[in-house]
Amino acid sequence: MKAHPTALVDPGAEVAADVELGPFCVIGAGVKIESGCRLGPRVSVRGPSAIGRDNTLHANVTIDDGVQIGDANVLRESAHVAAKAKIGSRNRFGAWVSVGDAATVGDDTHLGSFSVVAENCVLADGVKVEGQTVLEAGLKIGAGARIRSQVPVVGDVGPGSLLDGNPAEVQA
Amino acid sequence: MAIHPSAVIEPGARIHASAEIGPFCVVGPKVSIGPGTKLIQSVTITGRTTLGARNLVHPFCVIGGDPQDLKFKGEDSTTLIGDENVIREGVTINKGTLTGGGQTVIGNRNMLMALAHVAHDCLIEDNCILANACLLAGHVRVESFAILSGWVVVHHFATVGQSAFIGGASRVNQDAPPFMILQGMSGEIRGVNSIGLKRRGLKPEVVNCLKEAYRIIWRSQLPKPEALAEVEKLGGQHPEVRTLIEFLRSSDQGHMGRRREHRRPPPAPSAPPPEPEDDIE
Repeated sequence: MKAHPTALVDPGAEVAADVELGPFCVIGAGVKIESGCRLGPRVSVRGPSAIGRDNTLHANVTIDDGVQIGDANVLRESAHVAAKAKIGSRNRFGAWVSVGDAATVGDDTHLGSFSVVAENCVLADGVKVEGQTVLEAGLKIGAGARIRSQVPVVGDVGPGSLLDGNPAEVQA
Repeated sequence: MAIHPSAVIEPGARIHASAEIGPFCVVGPKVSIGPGTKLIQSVTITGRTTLGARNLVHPFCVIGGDPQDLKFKGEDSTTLIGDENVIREGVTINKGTLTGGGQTVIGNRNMLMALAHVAHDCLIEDNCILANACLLAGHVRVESFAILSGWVVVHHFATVGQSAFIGGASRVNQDAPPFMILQGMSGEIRGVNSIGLKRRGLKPEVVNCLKEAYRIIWRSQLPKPEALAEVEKLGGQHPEVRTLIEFLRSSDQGHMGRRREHRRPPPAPSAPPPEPEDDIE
């Protein structure tokens, strides 16, 4: 573990040898971080949570307890993943993205900056969400769906559809 | 030089003697911070980033971070920030990409309110205001004295003209003409930013001429080229009117209403088609 001297790692955390921890990171008890991960300054992870291989967590990212994160994800500055959320692999989250309690995000999704995925939402693989979009609680978003910026989404979205407007309308 | 003992300053960082670095800040090895600039606390400055004089950076900002761009391959691009900017809490400013010119630039006396996001290769000129949670996509240009209200989103390669005012939660998908007010999900042009122009000290006859130009271009039924020719006849003697006409002409020449769209790099060559399989009948 290549931890900066100011990083705080609980003795009950299990962090792989090549993981980089930036200054002022806080890693709680019961956190597991696999090899190849890089955590920027001030990242906070509460336990118990599991973070897979080759993930990049930029500055000020916060991960709550009971979260499971797959491999090769990029979480940009100040992104937040709430308790018991499940995140797949190869996802890209923009700055200030918020993923709510017990939400499920598949693989290869893009969440634009400031977008909000409320609690219990289920996003299938390949979903693309542009910036400042809000997904209300408990929605199901089908595989490959694309949602444009600033769209308030209040209903389920079918696979492959394009959503735009306020109120949201299916465009294609 | 006032550097709080808990701040992490990596070797190689150049910090002017009169700069102030607050608690828990992290300053990378290729960062240069000018005289009188103050990082209040918990600020991250990384990448090859230069801050000029007398900037005030509030907590939890991340300046010079990697671009959120799939074409970025770890190149050593730059972020340049001028003088006397106010950067409020949680602002994120990404550095440039090689294909986009290699630098993100912010001029002087701008105010970036809390949570504003400035993506790779953006240029913000002087005296601009980005209100809370403003979101600039990559390669965006914001000209001097423009005001973007809260939750405004600007599309890649779009230009916001000088002294334009963008209303709250609007989407700017095409170039926003200078001196105008835009509002709405499609960035509709609603009138002349007369208050902003008055504050800038423009003469009333110029403002009136711009109002007449607005009426001719967006409220008469004239086709765009004829409307612009008429505006040129009416107020071509005023440099501001000429600026508006030239801006609209170059935006119309651009792709999708964005004059800088031609700067988009050509798509990468696609992968060769897969070899046909032998055993298919």
